[in-house]
Amino acid sequence: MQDFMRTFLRRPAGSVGLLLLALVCLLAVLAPLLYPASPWEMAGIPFSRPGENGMLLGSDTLGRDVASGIAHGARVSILIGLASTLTALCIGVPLGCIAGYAGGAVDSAIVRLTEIFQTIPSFVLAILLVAILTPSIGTIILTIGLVSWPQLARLTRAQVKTVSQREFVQAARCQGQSTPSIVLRHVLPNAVSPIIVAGSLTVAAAILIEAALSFMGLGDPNFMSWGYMVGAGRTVIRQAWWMSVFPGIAILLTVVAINLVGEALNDTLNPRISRA
Amino acid sequence: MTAPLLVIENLVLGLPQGADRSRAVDGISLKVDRNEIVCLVGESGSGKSMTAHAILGLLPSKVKALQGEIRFGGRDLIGLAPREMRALRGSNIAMIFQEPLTALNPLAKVGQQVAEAISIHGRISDRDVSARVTELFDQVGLPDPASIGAAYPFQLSGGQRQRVMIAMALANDPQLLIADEPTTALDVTTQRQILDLIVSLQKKRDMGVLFITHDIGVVADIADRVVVLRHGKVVEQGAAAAVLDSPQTDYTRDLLDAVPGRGTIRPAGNEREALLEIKDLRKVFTSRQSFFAEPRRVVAADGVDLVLKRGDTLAVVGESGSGKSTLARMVLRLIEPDGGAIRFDGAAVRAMKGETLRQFRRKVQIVFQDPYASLDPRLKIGESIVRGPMAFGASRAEAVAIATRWLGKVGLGAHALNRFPHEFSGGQRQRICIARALALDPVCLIADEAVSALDVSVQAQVLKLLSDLKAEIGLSMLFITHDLRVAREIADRIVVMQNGRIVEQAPTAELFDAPRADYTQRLLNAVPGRDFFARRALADAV
Repeated sequence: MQDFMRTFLRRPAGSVGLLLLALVCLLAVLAPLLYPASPWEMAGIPFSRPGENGMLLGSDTLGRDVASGIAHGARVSILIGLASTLTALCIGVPLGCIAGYAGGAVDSAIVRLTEIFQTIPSFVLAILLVAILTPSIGTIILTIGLVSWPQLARLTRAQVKTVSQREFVQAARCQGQSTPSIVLRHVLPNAVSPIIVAGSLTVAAAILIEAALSFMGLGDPNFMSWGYMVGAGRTVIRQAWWMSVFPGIAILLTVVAINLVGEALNDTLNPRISRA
Repeated sequence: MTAPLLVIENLVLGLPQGADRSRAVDGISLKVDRNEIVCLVGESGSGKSMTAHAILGLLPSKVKALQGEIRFGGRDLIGLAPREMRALRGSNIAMIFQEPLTALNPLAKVGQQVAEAISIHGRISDRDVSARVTELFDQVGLPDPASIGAAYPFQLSGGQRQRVMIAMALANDPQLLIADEPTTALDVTTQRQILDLIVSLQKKRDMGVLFITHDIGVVADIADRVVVLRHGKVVEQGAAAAVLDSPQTDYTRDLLDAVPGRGTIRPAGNEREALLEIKDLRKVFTSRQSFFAEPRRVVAADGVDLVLKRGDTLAVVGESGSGKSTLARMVLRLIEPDGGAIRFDGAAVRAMKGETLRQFRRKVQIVFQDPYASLDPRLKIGESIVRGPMAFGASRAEAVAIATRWLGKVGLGAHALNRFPHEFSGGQRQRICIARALALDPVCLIADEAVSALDVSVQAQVLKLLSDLKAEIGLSMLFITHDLRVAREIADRIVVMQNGRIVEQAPTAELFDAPRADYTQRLLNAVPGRDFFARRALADAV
């Protein structure tokens, strides 16, 4: 484990990514201390430029503090990004694994199921699900997870299919290892790199879907989120760029941080790179 | 005497930092004259391909020529302007690559590809190009040269593709032909044809040929002069007859001695009970290209009958596509046969399920061809080996003890346990695979082309290891190979397969002395360097 951390931190991508992610998390944790007032509260004159009226990043169309919104929104965006990706991974990876390793009728059945999900435009499905389930942070996470798993399942299936043809998997079968042990210890670790990368991209996509849902008015009304801020500021972007740009930068940094961590994780898990 | 065609003088190629050595090629000097074949011999990593690529300026971007000259027709090719180099490539100097499938564009017709090679250099008018292509195809012995130009590479066999490559190389009447292991990926009989073709074309056209190979047999068949390379340095060079018949250095001698198939043949064992019996085994692979197309049928086993006796080694020999690897996998039930019976120690293998099948697989272990693909790259060696015994109830400590013991037996120490596969060479990895198989204490070992991917000297070591282990623990072995020389070295009996059928089955000595089937005869004749090694064996005997 110590070995693992050392290799991870020695990669520039790993340390930079982790640092950025830590900063965003710190912001999320410290939000109530930095901005004790509710981010929904009108704190000053609407359309204040950054730095005016004591507001670091300016105010939005209703005079709410953008900086306060970003701090409070960090919690929701990170929570939604990570939790919904985790949900998608929990559905997609096992299904993909089973389909790819079992093959035959099981494979066809699972592939058909993913195709059903993929033929419905995912955002329309997300709107529908949230509308039915009533918007709350829990249902939003579940919904984003439900619309994001098919790509992960397909990717996992394709990876597992190629890896399980490799000779070392056949060798493991000949060694008498049980099927779950082969899949979990030999196939999955060798199939995982693109899944990690795709997973880190899913985090980004999830934050954006949440943004879009909030923009449609289907976000959780109790929580400020970056997506909501971008959505709300979008209409006046020509007069007041700061309203959407700062939350946009926050989304960008978080996504980059997660991608970097994913990349470093991938390198660390690959002994050919980490031991070089 | 005229000036030599190609002169390489004191060539040094530097590798990027972090490579296993700092110089890929370290001060090589050689020359190629008109109308001669110079063979560059060496094991993998000796720098022979790098030298060839340096001539045409095809080096990877991280490899730099640090010193020396490559002179062709009075010009130094190192540092030649890209434009001038392009004018040379494919016209005065042509190259044939190892893998004919990847060296041809899969989406273009072969005729077009050759025509393109001609028209780029613009020596003849566009109208005459197609006639020239047909003429070339005729010269390289392709069937129906007028119409084969319309074929795509995938429609041709490996040998035909290599002929197309040769036609392309010859398109502009090169003075120098560089052939980089052009027959390594081919079957023995095809290899024989391609070698004959290269030699006859070389004679007809007065070309200089720089032929790169690792196979001393090939060298003995075609070379006028030989350059032996090791670790980027020239070990020995001279006329072929001189170098091969009276090698001056130990390394050349070792290379010659490592070629399999010269040792004494093992006497066929006395009658023993059968361990593995295969009766009338059948398997047909059908694949459908598209929904409406007629499914393609490939017969992998067509009534295969064979018996492996306890303590014997049975070699299954055949060219690629003969169904020998499928046979090995069917024995282990990694592929399900369509029909027939497999009996192991009296028990019907095809009826086995669950725990019985697991116990059976423990007794019959397999070593695969590619030592790079058959070890899990993300697991430490120790972990790969101990999982077998642990799956059969050994505690971790016991399993580690077993793994350590076997690693020791195959000539690797306990320090290997904690390392990853990529830290080992091909030969070492194959030893690890053997240790992994034997850690389960099997009765029978299936070696599926287990030494084919290895250099000759390493091959000799692994073969020796296998026969030592066999003698020590009384293993029975099913040894699958395409190389009759290897089979001769290790087998008690040999089975020759062709297109899923057994064409001959005989004790090793009998098969080599008096082959009955035509096909066996053809395989034997195609073995490279056969005459040379026969002569050598005779000389040794005297």
